[in-house]
Amino acid sequence: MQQRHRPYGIILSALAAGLLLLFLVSCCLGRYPVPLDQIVRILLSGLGGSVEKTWSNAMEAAVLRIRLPRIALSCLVGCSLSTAGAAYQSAFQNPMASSDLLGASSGAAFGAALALLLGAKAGMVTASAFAFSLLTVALVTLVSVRAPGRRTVSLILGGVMVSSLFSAGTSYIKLVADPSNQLPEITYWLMGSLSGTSAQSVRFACVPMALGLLLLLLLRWRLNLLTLGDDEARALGVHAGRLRLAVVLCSTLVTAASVSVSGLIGWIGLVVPHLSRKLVGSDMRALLPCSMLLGALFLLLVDDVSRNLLPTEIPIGILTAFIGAPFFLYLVTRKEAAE
Amino acid sequence: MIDVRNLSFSYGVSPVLCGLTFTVEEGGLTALLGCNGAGKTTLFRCMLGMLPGYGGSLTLCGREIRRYRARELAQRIAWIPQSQTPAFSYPAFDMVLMGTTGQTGLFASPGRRQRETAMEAMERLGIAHLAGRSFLHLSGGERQLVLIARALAQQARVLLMDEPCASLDFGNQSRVMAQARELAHSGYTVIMSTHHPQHVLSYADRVIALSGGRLLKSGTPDEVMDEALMRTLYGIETAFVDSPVGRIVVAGRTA
Repeated sequence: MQQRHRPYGIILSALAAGLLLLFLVSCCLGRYPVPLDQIVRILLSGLGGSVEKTWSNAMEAAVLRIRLPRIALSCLVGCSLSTAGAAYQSAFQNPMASSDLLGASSGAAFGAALALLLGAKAGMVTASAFAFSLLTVALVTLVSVRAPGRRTVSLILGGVMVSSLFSAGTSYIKLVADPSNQLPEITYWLMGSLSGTSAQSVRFACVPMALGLLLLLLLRWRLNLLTLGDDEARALGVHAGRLRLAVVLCSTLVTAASVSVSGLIGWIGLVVPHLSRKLVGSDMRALLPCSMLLGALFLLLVDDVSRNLLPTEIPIGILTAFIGAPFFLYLVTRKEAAE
Repeated sequence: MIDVRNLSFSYGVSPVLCGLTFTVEEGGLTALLGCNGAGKTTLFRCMLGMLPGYGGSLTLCGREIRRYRARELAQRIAWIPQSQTPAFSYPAFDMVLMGTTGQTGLFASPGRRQRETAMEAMERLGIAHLAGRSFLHLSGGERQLVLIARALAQQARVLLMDEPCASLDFGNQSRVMAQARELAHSGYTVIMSTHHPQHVLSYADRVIALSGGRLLKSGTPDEVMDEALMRTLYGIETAFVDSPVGRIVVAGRTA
């Protein structure tokens, strides 16, 4: 049985190596060119290593202050949204579930729009988006507890209803916002972008993300049992309801943290878990780490395109949809390879 | 081993089980016979701790079912459901391995011992060659055997089988029934709901007949199974015939 696990190891190692390579290359990319060997030196000195200084201060500022936070954040957000998507798909036994199934995104959008309307600073916008995102999912969970019938179905229905409620709220805010400065700001935020990334937003997001991701990773074997349905899981000794609640909590935490710093970046929570499933199968022991690495890789790649393809930046939310939707169509229409 | 006293249960206002009383001794194959809606599935769900709101008493090894935690119960009772198509595809081996979840901690993944347990269960049922195949691509009979192997990997002594022969062909029905009987005679307590009176005659040690949530009759198949019972349970005429391979039941043609 040991040899069954080896290919997963190879795939995961290859993804990790690819991510590291792309990470270094991404540091070079940009309007201010920095050669790869200088990047490695700057990063090493940034980590506290004693390296002879062969680079200019401008290089250092470009790499450490501007590019590095943005690269780190795109990896974190990609990793979080993909992992939450994979976890939701298991927890709801639904391959079409994505990380904002229960309204985390529309809540965050409303929170951000409201803060922008009230003229809040960047930090407050993030905090408001995060808080409203958590609030929305809490509301959906409360509604589903009160509703009779199957819990999973009432959760999803509650998610759809509360989401549309908050979307309507966001639309209303856009209507009353000042069209000369507030409205473009809100619209741009909703499109999703990593352009304004500062070290501060990385620090804000990384704690809830790390907490949620770690818990999901620890629960990875039990997530498999949720795909069997509540009764079978229960007969195998697992409280499906409690486990699903834990998954919802963790996924909401990481999704809310992502959305609050990056805006709405769709598709990645759907496309990456599906692609990972093609690579390593449905076993969450392999699928979850694979989704994490592949998600980080994917979003970093898309962000590189977003900031380098055209002189003006393309919002990353638009790009993920441009790449994600056709790719997803290809995935679902492709004939299953015979096992 | 399992003691049912005056058990009742209702979903909302409509009662599904009313005042059931019977005992299942350790070992042997007990068949649960009854038409659709007789309460067989609800009885199973009560035994599995999924419906803690039952009335009366339902004890396993002298302890009330609702007092067991999910994990403790899983170590004592295993459920073999009718196979459904899962949302995601797993290799048959992983399906069996899921049976060992009750033996490991909350954050743990199955280790070497659990993998060995799962493989032994598959070998015992003669399906070790299916280990790497996707559960989705197995036939109905193979899926049923995988689910039985999962129950064995669970290492519980009581096995609840929910219509294991539903949608199986003639040969696979016999194979699954023979396997169930063999398990029952090697010390497992097997309780099986079934729609096949012939399976009861050929394989069961005891039979419990349910109708409308009430106990109709219980005892050995020879004592209980007759034309009158079939008429009450299913509303059809049948004939019981002695043959070289045991008693046979045939349904008469209805007008």
